[in-house]
Amino acid sequence: MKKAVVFSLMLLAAIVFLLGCQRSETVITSLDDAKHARIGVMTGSTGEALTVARYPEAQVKSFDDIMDAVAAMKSGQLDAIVTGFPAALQVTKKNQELGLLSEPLDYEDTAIAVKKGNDALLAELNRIIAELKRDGTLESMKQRWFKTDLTPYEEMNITLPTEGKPLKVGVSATREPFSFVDKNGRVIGHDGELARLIGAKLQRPVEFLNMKFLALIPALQSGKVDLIVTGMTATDERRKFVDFTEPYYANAQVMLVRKSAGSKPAPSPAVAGRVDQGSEITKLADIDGKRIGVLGGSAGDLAARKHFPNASFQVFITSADAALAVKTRKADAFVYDKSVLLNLAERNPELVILEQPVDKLEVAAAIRKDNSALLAEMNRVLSDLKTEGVLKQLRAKWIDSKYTVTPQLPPIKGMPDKEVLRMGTCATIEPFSFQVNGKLTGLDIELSQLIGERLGKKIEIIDMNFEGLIPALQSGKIDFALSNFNVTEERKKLINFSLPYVENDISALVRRLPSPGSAAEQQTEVNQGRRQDAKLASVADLKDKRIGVLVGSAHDTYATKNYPDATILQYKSPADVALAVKTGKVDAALFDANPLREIMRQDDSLGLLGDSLFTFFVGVGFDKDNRALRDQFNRFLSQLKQNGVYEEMIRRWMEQRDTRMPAIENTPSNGVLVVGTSDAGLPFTAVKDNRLVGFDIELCERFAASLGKEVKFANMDFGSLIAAVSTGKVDMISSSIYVTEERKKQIDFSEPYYEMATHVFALKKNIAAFDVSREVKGRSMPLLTRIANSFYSNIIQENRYLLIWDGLKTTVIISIFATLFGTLLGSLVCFLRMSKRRVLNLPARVYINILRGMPVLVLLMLIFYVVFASVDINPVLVAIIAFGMNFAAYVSEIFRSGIEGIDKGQTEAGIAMGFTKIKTFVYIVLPQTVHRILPVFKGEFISLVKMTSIVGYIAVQDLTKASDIIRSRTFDAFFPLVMVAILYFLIAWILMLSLEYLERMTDPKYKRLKEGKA
Amino acid sequence: MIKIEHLSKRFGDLVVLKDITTEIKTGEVVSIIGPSGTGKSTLLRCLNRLEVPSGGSIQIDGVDILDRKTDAAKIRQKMNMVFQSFNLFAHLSVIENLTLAPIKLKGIGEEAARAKALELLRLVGLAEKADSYPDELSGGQQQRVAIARCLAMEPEIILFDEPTSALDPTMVREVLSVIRRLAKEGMTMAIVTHEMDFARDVSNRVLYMDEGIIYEEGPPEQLFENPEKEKTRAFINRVRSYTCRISSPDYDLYAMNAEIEAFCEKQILPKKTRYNLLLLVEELLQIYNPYLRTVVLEMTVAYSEKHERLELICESTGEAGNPLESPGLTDDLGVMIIRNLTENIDYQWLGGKNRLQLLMKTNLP
Repeated sequence: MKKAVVFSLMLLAAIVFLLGCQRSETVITSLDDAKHARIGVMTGSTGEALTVARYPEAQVKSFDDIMDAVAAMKSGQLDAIVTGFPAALQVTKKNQELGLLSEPLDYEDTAIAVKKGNDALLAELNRIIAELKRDGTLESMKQRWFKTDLTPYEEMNITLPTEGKPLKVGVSATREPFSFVDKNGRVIGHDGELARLIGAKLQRPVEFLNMKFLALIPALQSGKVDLIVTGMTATDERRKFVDFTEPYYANAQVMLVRKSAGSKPAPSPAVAGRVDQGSEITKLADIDGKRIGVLGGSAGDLAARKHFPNASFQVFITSADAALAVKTRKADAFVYDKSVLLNLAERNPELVILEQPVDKLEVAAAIRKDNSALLAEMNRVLSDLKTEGVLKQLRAKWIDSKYTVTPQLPPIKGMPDKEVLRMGTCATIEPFSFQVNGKLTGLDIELSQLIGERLGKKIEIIDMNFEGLIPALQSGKIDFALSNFNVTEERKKLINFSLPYVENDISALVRRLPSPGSAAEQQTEVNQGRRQDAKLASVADLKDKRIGVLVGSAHDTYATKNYPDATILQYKSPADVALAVKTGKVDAALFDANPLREIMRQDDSLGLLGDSLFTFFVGVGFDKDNRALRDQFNRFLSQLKQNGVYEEMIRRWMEQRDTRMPAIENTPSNGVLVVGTSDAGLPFTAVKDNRLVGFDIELCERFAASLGKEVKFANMDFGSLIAAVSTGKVDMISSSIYVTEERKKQIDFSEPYYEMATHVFALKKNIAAFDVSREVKGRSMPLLTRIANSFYSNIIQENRYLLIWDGLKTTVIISIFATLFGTLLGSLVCFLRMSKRRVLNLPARVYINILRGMPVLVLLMLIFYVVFASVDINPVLVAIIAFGMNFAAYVSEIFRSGIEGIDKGQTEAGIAMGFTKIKTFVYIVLPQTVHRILPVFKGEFISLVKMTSIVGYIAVQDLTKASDIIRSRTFDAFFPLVMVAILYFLIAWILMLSLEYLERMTDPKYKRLKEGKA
Repeated sequence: MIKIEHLSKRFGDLVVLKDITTEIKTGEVVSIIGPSGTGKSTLLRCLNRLEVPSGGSIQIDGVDILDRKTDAAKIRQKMNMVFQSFNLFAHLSVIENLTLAPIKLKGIGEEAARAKALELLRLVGLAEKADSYPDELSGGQQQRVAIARCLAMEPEIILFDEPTSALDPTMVREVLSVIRRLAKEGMTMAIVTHEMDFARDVSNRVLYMDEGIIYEEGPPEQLFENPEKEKTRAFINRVRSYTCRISSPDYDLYAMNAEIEAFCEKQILPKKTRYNLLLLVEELLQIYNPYLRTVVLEMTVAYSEKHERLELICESTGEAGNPLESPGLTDDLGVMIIRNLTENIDYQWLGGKNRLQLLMKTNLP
């Protein structure tokens, strides 16, 4: 008894330990950090291919579902996870300690998949998607489903027809917010709604088939589902097997990481709940009682604590972090050296410095206490510099100028190999000491150069953490320190300060308030917060921003027309537009979808904002008087479309992004065709390897060949094209030119040869959808509370226990019927196997060997996808058949060993008495066999019960699947798994009890025991 | 009622039964005896087709049971078998063992079957063990139950396959008494057994099987008292023998002596007897010595367990004539010793050989 108690206590301790166990591993703050990390990816996803290609030296582990990867990361087995943005977003919502890196790895299109060759459905779906884009439904869906907070989802009410051939939609409903299940087991989410919308538009009822992600494409191919709507990325690999519609969502592959220590504010018990959040600060006195950010140990820290005793403090390591906290409303004010704050305020227009300073401070050089010689020298130099006005100049240059471009350091009037003075600094404090392009610069750095010159010494600068400076001084590792060192009494005890060289204010940096009276002020606080954050959440946000466009383009016209309050800036070339966005000259820009993709492919910092604004047709431009040429082109174009070359070109340039120009035969004899074009970007026109390539280029070359003319391209600015063709300088122009009413007045267009979408793009860091910042909740919740919470969220919330109950029923049904079927089949096989006739026992032996040698999962999928490929069969039935067949192989051998184990004499006695062989078996051998084999049979039976946990692969919702679903919502690994393990044990145990009952009944002695005889 | 004609059975290359022809009439009790491995059990098992013969025919009441078309099961219901290893149904109690076949095969109601079963158990003296299970009974009890089980089907003939071979002497008696009783009541039986006394008491006819055939048969008195054939006799008397062949005067006397000693040890003969035997052998060989250049001598030491008599048989080739009485015999002493050791000396000219049979005295000093 004692042993049992000790053992169970140890077991409990082990579980608790595992629960609370946290291991710290590689910290990743940017994509490059992941080079040697352990990265989790989703099996078969685009993220997997991406990661493997990009990080050949990393350890890449693939998982079936994101929650498995998340569990792995939380337990320290992974450093990062690469997955699609929506899934990652969900993860960060539920797991505060995980965050997204702001740069995505790549962009990708999310589209609907249909069976290859099902053009009718494909066309219908494309039509519907285009419709939904046009009327803004897709946009609204995105708003409602891709939320950044945990408020409940609002689902659109869609009435579906109840009659008609159902549209079977394959989903993997563990990918919130694309597709997941609600508490009633209904498939919901962005894609759930999309599928229903499609059903409504096609006037067909919708049936969802929920299965593992990897099983979806096989299901589509075998006709079990008609389409897949589940946040699936349209990759070239997949296109080999299925057809994709136009994308309905622009996705990105992003990297999930654990939050690094640096950006985590020290847990302060007073933070949650007690403190005032978000009410406006207009004067200094408002700060008291709020959340103040400070840099540990700085003068600002001391000053703030002195002046604002009622506030709560968050300690940061860098001023950038502190400012970010204020920006994102995690703190209300940052109290620090004004000269640094000025810089921050310049870069962050939504932050502003309060007029009244908190305190005054002096900045001086720090020198070791007993180094009076150096102290005297330093003071001498500084007072010289002061009298000469150099200090004032320095101050003006670095602090007061509020520069936007970093000032340059003057060259050192070099005197090599002089005595060396070592200077310590913490190069994270702009404008005093910071890094630009890897070089140290700033006021302190320039001052150090001056000091070096004046003292005739070489200054060796050592960059370290701020906290390390004083110890370094004390131990003599450095001779002095220049690092925006504020003079404080505390520090004076440890080191000496020189004369101050800068006098500064300590001020408070707070969020800017909107100016009174503007219309925006009347909006809700949420919008206020958003605008103050200066992030773009949708195209509507552009209306008062700076928008970049290509001069003379349709975007130009569109922007001018639709955003009258915005500032439209025009650029001559796409490259200029992109540059403008990158350097912040414009907030966003409008551009063609396809070339835009190319640009973004090469530049990680740019991202798409919202969906396409509008689509236009693209045509070739001709002079109004040149009707003939135009007609020739139109004929050529329709020929091209008829003979399939057009299709092929589209495929190559638009879909496969193949940039090779095919060789086009041309024996020019008819003169020259001059084509005006501009560098519009791939896939239309671009210069590659010193020649023009692109869809338009190929089109024109072919046209010229058809006319027997030699083609000459005139590459010019986009804005000049129209003029060039209407003045006859060129015969035609082709450069992904939109057909607009405006232009039609000036030139004639051919029949359209493509339809183009226009997108808005901006710097990713300005787009709300790519928000990275998260705060980490303190880990101070006690274990029992965590367990109770866990229990609630996994079992009680949304009646999740019902999911478990349904799964349980399915598991039990499959187990029992598979056992019965398997036992009967096994008896038959055993009979055949024991026959002396080869024609009977050979098939039996083959059956046994094959079934025992094949994994059950493989058998299951074979039967479902191959044997019953185009048959509409209940997957539960398939599971029963597969498991039954597997069970039968084992049962037959068990029976055989049981039978052959019975003494031959028993059979002989029976036969000698006149029993037939069969009767001998039934009355004499069988009862003895059953009793003997029951122990082994029980074991195989329990094995079968556990094996049923794989039926999720053929879309059966059993107990294991139920736990998967719960896990995909709560990302909690412990509770659902433990619960399910217990339930499996209970099922096995109860079923085993019934077998043991049978065992007892067949034990002859038992009967007598029951009757009470000795 | 059972007619067996030219029955043969082979297992692969091994021929167990060569040619068996015999008959078992109704009411007869036939014992089948013989050395091990001579096919006694095989013959019995052929009778109810537990073994399928390779040739010949078996007719039971005129029906050839070896014919494929006959319903063997039905025929078997007319007879029944008692096995050496009892073969009681382990999963049933004693009474259930008895009632199983009548209920399932004859369709007798459970009550009636039980009643009959109890009666039979009383017959074999095991009524109080009715609800016990076979593994709770001793060997003898199990075998008796087996017999009762046979009787439950009211067979016309019971085949006993070495029914007491697996029992120790105390239990053998209980089983034999049951069988005796059955015999008294006129049941037709065929019994394969090693219990000679029992066989003599109970049987009408005894078959001695050897060399794959019925070597000798006849009423028990004849077979047991005066078997006609040598081998039969040897078997009956449980004769054990040792033979050695001497063909030259350079034979290894010492080796032969050693083997004779070993033989005596095997038969657990007293030292005295051994000594005397060796002496006898020595003297005989002395007498034969001059002839050994031209004559082949075969000397057999035969010990009859039954009679506990030791006999020395010398067969020699050459001219006819009793070596002991040959004129040139110089060694009178030797002959005298021989005569002293033996009770009876018998000379025969048999099968072209001189046969000298010397029966040793039993109570020699």
